[in-house]
Amino acid sequence: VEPWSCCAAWLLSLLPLALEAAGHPLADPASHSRLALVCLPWIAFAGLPRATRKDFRASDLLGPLAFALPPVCAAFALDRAQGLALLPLALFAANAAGLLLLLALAAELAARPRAPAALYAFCWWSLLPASALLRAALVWGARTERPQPPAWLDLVASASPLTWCIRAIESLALARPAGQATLEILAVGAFVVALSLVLVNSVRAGGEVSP
Amino acid sequence: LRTLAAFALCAALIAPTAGAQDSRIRWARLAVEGPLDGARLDCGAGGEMWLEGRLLPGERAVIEVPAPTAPTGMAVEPRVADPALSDRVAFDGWVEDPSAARLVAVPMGLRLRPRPALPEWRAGSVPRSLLLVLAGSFLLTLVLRARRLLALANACVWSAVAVLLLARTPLEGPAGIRVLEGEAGSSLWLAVDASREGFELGGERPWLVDAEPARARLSVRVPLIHPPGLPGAGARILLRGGTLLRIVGLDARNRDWKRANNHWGELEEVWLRSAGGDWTFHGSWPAGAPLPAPLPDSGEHRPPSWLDPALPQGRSILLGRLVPGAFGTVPASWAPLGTWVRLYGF
Repeated sequence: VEPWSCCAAWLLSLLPLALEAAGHPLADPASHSRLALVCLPWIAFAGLPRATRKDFRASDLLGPLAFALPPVCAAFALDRAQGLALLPLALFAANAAGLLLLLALAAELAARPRAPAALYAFCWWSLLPASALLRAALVWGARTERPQPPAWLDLVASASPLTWCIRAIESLALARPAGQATLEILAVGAFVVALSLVLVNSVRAGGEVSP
Repeated sequence: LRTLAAFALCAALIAPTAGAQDSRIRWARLAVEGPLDGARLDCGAGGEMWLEGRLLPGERAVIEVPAPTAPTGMAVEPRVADPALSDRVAFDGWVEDPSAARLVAVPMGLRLRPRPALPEWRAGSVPRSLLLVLAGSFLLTLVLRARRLLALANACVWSAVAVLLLARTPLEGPAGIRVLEGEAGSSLWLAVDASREGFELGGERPWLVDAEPARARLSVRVPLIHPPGLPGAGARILLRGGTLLRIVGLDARNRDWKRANNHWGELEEVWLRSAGGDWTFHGSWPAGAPLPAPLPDSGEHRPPSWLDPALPQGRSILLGRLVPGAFGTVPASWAPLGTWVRLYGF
């Protein structure tokens, strides 16, 4: 596990908590779930296409989990302390952990010699950042709180783990509809997507990037 | 003429109920029989109800319980969740509660007044020590990253430390507030309680219970044994992840409130909005004293925005915070905000 990539994901996941600790007005804890916000960068990070490597071990999957666990647990406890319902939070956390492991496994398998790495990279790119980014672009383009993107795009975007996580940021926070927080949340999502783009480009260019 | 008569009839029918709001609870009667050691009842979209306590074999009782209703006001007969208990807990009909009718009799301006919004959870409630703990966990995991299982064990330990730290550091945020809503010339006021946790019902039944967000499901916990003569007392209405509102009437006939004399109780802070919309801060207002002169505006004392009504324009408004204990008591967790008075036409 490359330290710098872990560091990037860790910093991104901690950003919402740090903003809130600093009392920044962007961090409005009533309108979003900290748990989903913290999980977002890790979900984007776990499945990144990797450089080819021969020695894959199952224990390699534990690396991202070990880095993600403390911030996720802290966000879970913060959400609970604020009064968010336990069951939806626990379900989301369990789903996110499973998703994280599955994405990491897929990335590791695709990084083996003679594996269809290019196909995996295409699928990952389409399913995670591209669909979410396209949907976010249409939402921003419409300049409305509740836009109506095309049904097919909504269907594709629904299959994206990133979109699932971004939607959970609002839906888990039952205290009140997010409304104003939507743009900030999408901004975080777009930032993650931009970071992913840089990493993918590095991999394609034959760099030594290997999360 | 017939059209006019029809309009008049419609207006007469609609006027008394205009602004009437459906309460999120409806009183139901349950017939319970022992042996019974607690039970859970499903109330549809409104939520659920828990019967707490124990009945011995042969013991029978008919209890009145506040059953959660759906946001639309539709009440579903409470049904016991465990089929094995269906012969020991039976729905025995709805109880007519005159409270809703009493609320309709309240002046419409007072009844339709915006509910007090609890201040949102304050940003900055995340303890900074948590960030240090998370940074420590990251660095150690980085050092141990080659030994995966050890790194995971280390992460588990740091996660536990973070959760324990948060459990010992209560997040900032008021749990509830009471606002006494008054209207000049009206002898009937409303006491509006807003809580993030819930309420315990006493002898007096609430005139209205509402939830924010409206779709939130309520959880009602009812003791099987209640104090004699007080059916339903001791029941707790709970809500997580939202705000629960309770409204009861308040007889204000003996508490005539004029600028010349404070007949209500000692106020810690008082603001006055003129009909022109200008706010003045008057400091504290002792009981029995005339309203103090406005203090110079230093910019420090502003009326709380979550209680500052935008409407109606052109009417004077008094906002004040009562000294703790000056008018009833509120739970200790409500202390940061306490009890407020909002009087229109003062």
